[in-house]
Amino acid sequence: MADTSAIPAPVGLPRTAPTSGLFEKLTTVLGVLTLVALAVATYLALVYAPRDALTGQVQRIFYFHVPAAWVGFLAFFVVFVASIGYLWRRTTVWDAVARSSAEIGLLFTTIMLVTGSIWGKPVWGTWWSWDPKLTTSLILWFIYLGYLMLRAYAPTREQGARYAAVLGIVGFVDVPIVYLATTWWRTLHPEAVITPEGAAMDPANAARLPRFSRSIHVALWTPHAPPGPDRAASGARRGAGG
Amino acid sequence: MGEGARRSYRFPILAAIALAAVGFLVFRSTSATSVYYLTVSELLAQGEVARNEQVRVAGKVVPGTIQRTAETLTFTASDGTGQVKVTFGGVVPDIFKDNVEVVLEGSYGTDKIFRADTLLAKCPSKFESDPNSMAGSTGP
Repeated sequence: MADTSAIPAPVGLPRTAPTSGLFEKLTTVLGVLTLVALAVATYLALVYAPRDALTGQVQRIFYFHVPAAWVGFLAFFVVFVASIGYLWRRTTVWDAVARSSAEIGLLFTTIMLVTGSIWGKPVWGTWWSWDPKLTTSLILWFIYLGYLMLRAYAPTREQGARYAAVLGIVGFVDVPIVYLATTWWRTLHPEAVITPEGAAMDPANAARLPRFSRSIHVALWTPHAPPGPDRAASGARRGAGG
Repeated sequence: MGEGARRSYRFPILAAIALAAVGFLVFRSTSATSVYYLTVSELLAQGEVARNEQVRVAGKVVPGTIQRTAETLTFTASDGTGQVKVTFGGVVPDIFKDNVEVVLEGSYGTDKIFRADTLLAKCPSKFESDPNSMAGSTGP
């Protein structure tokens, strides 16, 4: 870790957000709900869902890969909205939401890339190919990795928040590109299975998908419910105290 | 709002415009000049010029054309209009069989045989339940 004590204290920004008892309780409730929903979803994906006729058991990765991509996209949309909110209002709440969502999005984009790669090896015959869908997905991952690095390297927290907000708005451009890559270009990756027109799969399977992604959505917000103090700031405080 | 406050908006807005422009150019250039793979017909239409050049081609495995020997695999790939004979010496993906769409990387020789270095399967986006497996089965 870098020596955060050298970073000057942010001017005009509150260092802590008030945490009420309600938020603590809500976090516990959501945490328990998430655990139950994840257990049910894992059972549905690995045991209950029928085996795919062509690719067999490995198709079950679908129930993790696609919802992970959706959660990533949703998280980056939240970054986009919160970044606009921050540039407009300049309050730490917007910034805290943007930063938390970027972390969530990067995590789920990583899950999407890793599960996709594991799925690609047996079915396609390769871990990776530079097709437009995969390439734009990797670019998406790099954009938000860069987002977090930009924040970490900014001289002041206010500057970091401001630059990151710009990247959070511009970087979101890649999300629809990733989603529409299979429509716009020729790809190795199959076309979107779930579209506004319907699901290109067995209806029984399609009905199971939202259940899984719902449980992920609950998981998404649980650890980040209260917009707490920035980690760098709290780290600096700990450093000064110790 | 003073001059200083207005200036603080200038960098983000200019950066956003610049990045959007770069993104647009990248998008335009990639979509206009390159494709991930050619269809079989497009490969054949290139004629002698493209012979022995490294290319990526996609087509469906024509049913009944797969022949395996000890070292190589031969089959015919088709896109509905054009057909090309393919040889491949590596490991095929699990789902390789008749009618599966494949993406081949290799070169089309003057002997009208496509020598593939890699063979990738392009799986369909539609999933179907295996009629032999009941929901809840854990068989292979």
